[in-house]
Amino acid sequence: MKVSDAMKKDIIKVKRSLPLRSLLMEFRDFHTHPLIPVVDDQEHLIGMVYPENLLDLLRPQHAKLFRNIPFTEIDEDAFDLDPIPSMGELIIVDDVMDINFISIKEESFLQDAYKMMRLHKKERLPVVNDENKIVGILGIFDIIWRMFKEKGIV
Amino acid sequence: MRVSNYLKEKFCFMALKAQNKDEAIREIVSSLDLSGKVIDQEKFVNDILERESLGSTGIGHNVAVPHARTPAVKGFVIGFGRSGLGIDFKALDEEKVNFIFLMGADPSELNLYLRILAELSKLLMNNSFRQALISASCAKEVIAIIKKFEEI
Repeated sequence: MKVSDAMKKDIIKVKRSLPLRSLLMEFRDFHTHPLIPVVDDQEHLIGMVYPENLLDLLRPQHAKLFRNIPFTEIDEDAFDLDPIPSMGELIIVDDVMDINFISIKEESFLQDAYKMMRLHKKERLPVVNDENKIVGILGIFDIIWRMFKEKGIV
Repeated sequence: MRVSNYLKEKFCFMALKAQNKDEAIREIVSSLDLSGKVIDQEKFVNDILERESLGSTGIGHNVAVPHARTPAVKGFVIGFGRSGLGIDFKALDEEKVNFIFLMGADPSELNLYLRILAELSKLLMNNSFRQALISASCAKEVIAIIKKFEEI
């Protein structure tokens, strides 16, 4: 089975110039996808935004809300800031996106995608085609679902 | 995570010669070259200008914080420039900019970069802080003012 057989194709993506305020709205509306791909004008994948990147801009009381999200290596010092309203415009996607991200090709086998997730401790991976254009997101549950479906259980 | 840990006197211009945004960025970047952390000055300038093209960092109140994550910088650098006449930065409030804090960070320094940016933005929104920066007579005083307001 290929990655393209199991991935979610209905995804949201953003441009580098999108302000933080609009980015937060995207996250709010699509909170079941805790990562957002960043694309250029030709839809090439150029970065990823993870909610934990945004923690660095938050105050302690707000950050507490996010503490039940499983993420690693967040030190307490990150919770000592007081964001100002104008940061909603000052900070853009380009400032918070991770450019050292892992992606997988749509033609890869699901087994390899699963191995990659385990190796990099990621529960979701952006999926790209041969031209490095974003075509979907593959989550661990998408793999599980596809395997159960294959066995005729669902 | 303090701005004052990174801003040094030699990276502060009390009277920028620059007349426009491009020149101001070049002037401050030239001083940051002394830090030994700037690998490629021209690329650093271009990456900051590219970031500006995506959205102005003129956040209002005569302040701008141009910045870029760029491989042209090793670690993290920050410089300051003051302009009496003001520089057009296409700021949110369309006012000219008198204070510029310019930052550059290695692409891997995402957390540090965002925290300093957040810390600095908070300081700059404080009217008393900006007034103190206007009256500062030397770079040493600028650093002392930043330290003082960071304690508040």
